[in-house]
Amino acid sequence: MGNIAKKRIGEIAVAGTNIIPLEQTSSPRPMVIRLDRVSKHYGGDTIAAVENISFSVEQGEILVLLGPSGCGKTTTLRLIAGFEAPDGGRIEIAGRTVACDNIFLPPEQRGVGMVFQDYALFPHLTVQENVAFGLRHVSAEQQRSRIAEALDLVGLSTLHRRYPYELSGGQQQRVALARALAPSPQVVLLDEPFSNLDADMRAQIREDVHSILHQAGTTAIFVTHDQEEAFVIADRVGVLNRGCLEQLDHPEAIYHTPATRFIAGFVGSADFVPGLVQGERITTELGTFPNQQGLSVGRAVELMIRPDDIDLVPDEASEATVLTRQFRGADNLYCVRLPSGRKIHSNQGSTKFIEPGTRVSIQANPTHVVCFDIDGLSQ
Amino acid sequence: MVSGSVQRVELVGLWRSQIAGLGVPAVVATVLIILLTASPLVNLLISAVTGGLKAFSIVMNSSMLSLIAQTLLLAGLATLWAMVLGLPPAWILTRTDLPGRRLLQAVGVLPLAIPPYIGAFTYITLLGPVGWINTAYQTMGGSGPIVNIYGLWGGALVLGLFTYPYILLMVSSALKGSDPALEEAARAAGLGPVGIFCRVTFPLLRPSLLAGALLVFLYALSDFGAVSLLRVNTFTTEIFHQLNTRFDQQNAAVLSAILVLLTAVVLMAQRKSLGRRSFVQRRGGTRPATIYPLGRWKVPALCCSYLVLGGSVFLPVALLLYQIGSPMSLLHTLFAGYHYLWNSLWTAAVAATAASGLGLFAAYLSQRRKGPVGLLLTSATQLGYAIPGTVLGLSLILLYNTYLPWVYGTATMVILGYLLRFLPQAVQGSAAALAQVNPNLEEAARSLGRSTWQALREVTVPLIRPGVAAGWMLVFISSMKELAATLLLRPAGFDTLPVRIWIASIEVDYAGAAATSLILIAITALPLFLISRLDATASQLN
Amino acid sequence: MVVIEKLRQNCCTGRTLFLSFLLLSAGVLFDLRTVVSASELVIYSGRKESAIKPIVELFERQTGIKVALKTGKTSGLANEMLQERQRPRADIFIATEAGVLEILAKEGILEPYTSPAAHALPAEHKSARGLWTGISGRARVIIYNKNLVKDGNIPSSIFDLTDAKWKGKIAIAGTRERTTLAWLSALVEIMGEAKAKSYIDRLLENGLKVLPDNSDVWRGVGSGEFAVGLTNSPNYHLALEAKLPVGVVYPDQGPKGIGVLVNPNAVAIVKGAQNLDQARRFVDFLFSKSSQELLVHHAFEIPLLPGIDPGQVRPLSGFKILQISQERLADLEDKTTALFPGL
Repeated sequence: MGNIAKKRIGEIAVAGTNIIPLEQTSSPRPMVIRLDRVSKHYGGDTIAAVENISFSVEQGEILVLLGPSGCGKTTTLRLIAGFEAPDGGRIEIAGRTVACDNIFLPPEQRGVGMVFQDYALFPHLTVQENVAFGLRHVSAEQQRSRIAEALDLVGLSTLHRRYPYELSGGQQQRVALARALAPSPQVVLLDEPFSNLDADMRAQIREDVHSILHQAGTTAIFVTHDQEEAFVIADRVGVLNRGCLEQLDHPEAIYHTPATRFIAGFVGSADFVPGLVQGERITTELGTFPNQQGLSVGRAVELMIRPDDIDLVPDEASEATVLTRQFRGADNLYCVRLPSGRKIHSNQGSTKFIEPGTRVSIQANPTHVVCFDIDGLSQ
Repeated sequence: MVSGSVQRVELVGLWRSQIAGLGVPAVVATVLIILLTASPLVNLLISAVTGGLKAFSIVMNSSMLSLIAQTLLLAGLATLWAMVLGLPPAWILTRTDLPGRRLLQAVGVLPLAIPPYIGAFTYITLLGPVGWINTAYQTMGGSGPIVNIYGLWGGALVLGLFTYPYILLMVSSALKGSDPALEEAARAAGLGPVGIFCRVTFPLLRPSLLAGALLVFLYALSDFGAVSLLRVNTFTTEIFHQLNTRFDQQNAAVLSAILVLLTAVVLMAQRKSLGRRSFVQRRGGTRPATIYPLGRWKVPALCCSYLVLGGSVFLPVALLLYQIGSPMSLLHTLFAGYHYLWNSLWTAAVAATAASGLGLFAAYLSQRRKGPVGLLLTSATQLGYAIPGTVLGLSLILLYNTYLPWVYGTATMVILGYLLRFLPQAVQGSAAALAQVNPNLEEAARSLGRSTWQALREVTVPLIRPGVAAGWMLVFISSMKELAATLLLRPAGFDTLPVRIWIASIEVDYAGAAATSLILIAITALPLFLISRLDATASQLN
Repeated sequence: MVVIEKLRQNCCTGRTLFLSFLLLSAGVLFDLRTVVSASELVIYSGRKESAIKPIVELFERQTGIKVALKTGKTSGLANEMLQERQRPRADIFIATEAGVLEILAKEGILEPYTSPAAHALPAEHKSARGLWTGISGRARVIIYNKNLVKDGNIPSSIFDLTDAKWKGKIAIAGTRERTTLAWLSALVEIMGEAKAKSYIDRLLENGLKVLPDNSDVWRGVGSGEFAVGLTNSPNYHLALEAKLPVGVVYPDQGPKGIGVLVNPNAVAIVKGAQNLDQARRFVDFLFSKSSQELLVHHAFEIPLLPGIDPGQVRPLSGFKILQISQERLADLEDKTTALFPGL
């Protein structure tokens, strides 16, 4: 709650420059970050770290860039922050061009807060001094109040005299967040912030950070390789693969209607079953499905099937057999061999036991019918 | 956009990435450093090559081969001896329950406070043909000397004895930082302590052992004071000889070029052996290593450790104290020669300060901005390792007398000699310190509104201060002890402590040499001890 | 990280930085002082510090002129002076023998000066063109260990030393010592190249030990490591002073003997010296009674000036001298060096 949030909407304070007033509108919200066909190459054009990426982030929105390692998500973050200069394209922050052909604004003038994977707290300064680090441009009075607000927001007010080495991982992370938020930046960039935490703490801290950001109304861009994490925090998710932004959408859309085969496999488990488009229906060995995407007749496609789309019923007459069963606590994951030899997976309830070797009949009920070309592109 | 401006942006991008945020002063400093460090060597090589036929006739001389052989043999023997002296104590002090081992570890660096030339003349008084041992033997009725420290074996003995701490330190560091899991696995497989050492520990130590050995080898190659006092004919003594008997420096230049070549080969081997690990990184968070109880081996181990320490510290110091005779003569030397002490102190301090500044700059550029500029700078600053003191003195004389005569003949030459020779130590100290600092810290500072310089000042500098301070002290100590280059570079009337010791040794005024030696040792031992304590504290806390 | 804490608390680095800045500025000021004070007389001396320092200190006391002394090997210093010829640093050069000064004279870097005090010096001990002047002399003698060499066995000629009974017991300083070089050149002149070379070769076969310095020679003989040594006369007296059992013989004194070579320590003024007047005063001082007496009684050198009391030292009149001019010695140097690489 509080003053930071109010300031967020009322004005934007950019470190070191003048305050730009912003009109209070409910919607559409202004664009805080805008990337337009941004590219970055390493090794002189041979390695494209980031290729032609365009997206924009609304104020107050939390965008998560998701992808495997080496996909360019961290590079994109660093391009926005100003630690790298793009080879092509344009980057705008709060309407101001910060990187373009001849323009390059260094990081200290961009008003961008950053939370690093290893927190990067200054070890020789106390928590208070850490948080105060970005507040040099305000009066001592204001500094004190902002520090107090920031620490209050992250719930660490009592620890302001401690040094970073005296804090736990989760506490350090919250200090890093407070430090980034204190100068009221345009946007906060977070680079895999939860990967250094123990697994049991991760969920809780994730929750906390999410609510802190929402409370403060801050625009944030996360970078992660953890799909579950992305879905939980994000308002929108952008999936990157090999430097390209393959899909930018709400988490539900990413999961249920992935744009590429890569996304389908990366976000949740998926099996692919070949099928043939025949008019209104697509024929596969699991049955026929409605041709929701309006594909042309005669096309050979691959249908995406998720384990939770498949139901299994023991049936002596069927030719599909259960191969293995993995008890995972909350559910059972079955691997089933289809008559064609293809294997698919199915999620069943925690108490539903089917012996391996049992013949089962398969009922496929996908919520969305998503097909891909043999190339892997969605239709 | 037009291709021209795209190209401009690319060029700007490269420049930016190299020296971004640091601006013109950085460029100037880079150029200055490279000029400063590379020009003497380049000039020397040019002088050597333009020597013509007369100069190359020396190279073709058969005595040249024997000189190379003798020099390499000396260095090799000294290295072996240093390994024998350094390896067992390293293992005993880090892996056993020897009583008082922490004290011994702290004291282990002390031999480095005694320059080999001081060690040489103390051992001459003990083991020389007219030394104590022989005099006693003759008094007891023997005829002729039974032990003679002069010569190749004596040289190797003394050099190894006063350089073994390099090996001791590197191996101890590696042993402390290694993962005990491997040794525990070997124990589980049924190997005893010896077996574990041979099959598991030693192979792990090989890199640091090799690094330390090469360091000793390099030191032995370039040493002048000890080998000349002990009458071993090596490259450095031959160069010095050439400078002192012939009326042209061509021969000396050619010999110097060959020596530099030899040294460069060894140096490259050392760099390769270290790979990316030019300093030992401490792994925090691992369990402490297994400590083996010594049991009945306690006494022999104690004897071994104290014997080594005795021979390299206690004995020489005792001999020196005896040579002085009375504390009065020590004070007298101090009073009579206080301006030599002052010369030593201020030139060493100035050199150390300059080296720290330049070293920090070079280390920063090479660590934070990977690229050709940083690499070039680092290589230029490492030249000091490859150039022995005698050669450096000669090349500075050649260069500055011809091109910058107003610098020649001033004390600045001496400072330059120290600076160029020991700059690598400062670079290494800063590099090690920088490596421990997370580069994200600087980026964090920049994201919070600081410019590059401000980020450096407010975040990086406070964190690397201990490392830079250690580097400063190392350069200070090395400069205080430096003899070979100083002998050549000093202006008239400007002697340093090592020069006084040298002159006294040459004129067989052992009492005078002893007094000055003790003063020198006292001054260098203190910073050395401080550095080792700093290191010990850091390792304990990790 | 506790280390960081502790260091913060100590705050030693701030002080260190300040201290080094202090040192730096002090040092710079001091260096300026040594550069600016052109009033210091700069002397390069090939003669050992222990021998020359008393003279210098006496000079400083008597005249109040400050001296900057640089000692080293004569050849090395001569080399340096040639290097520095464009901007000479030295005012005075004192060499352990005069041949090197002849060579420097040929290179044209010496300033002629004939001191009135040296007027009485015999002509063979000063330069014909007044470019250098002999200060005092040292004779090439044989010293022996009294315990090892009994009265009947004392060699009377340097050629006796090729005898097998001296095998491995002879020491000499190598040609880094210019007096050895001069002695070899004298041999070449007197005996001719071939005979001189065969003599030295036979000496080497007889186990002649070549040591770096003359002080190694007299100490070696004094301790009994060697029985005899070929060295300069002052070293005999130094050995006596150190209470070593040594004796001396001035060899080859017979009617057919070649005589004993005398090397004069010589002084010269450098051309382009910054302090010409003071240099001249120093040269004059060297021939004053007090200075000469110091050289004779303290450094055991042979007085070349008539009228100086020789004390324990055998004067020039006391033995047969090998006659050779310094110019000749200088001319022979290159050949000698090439002939005797083993020394």
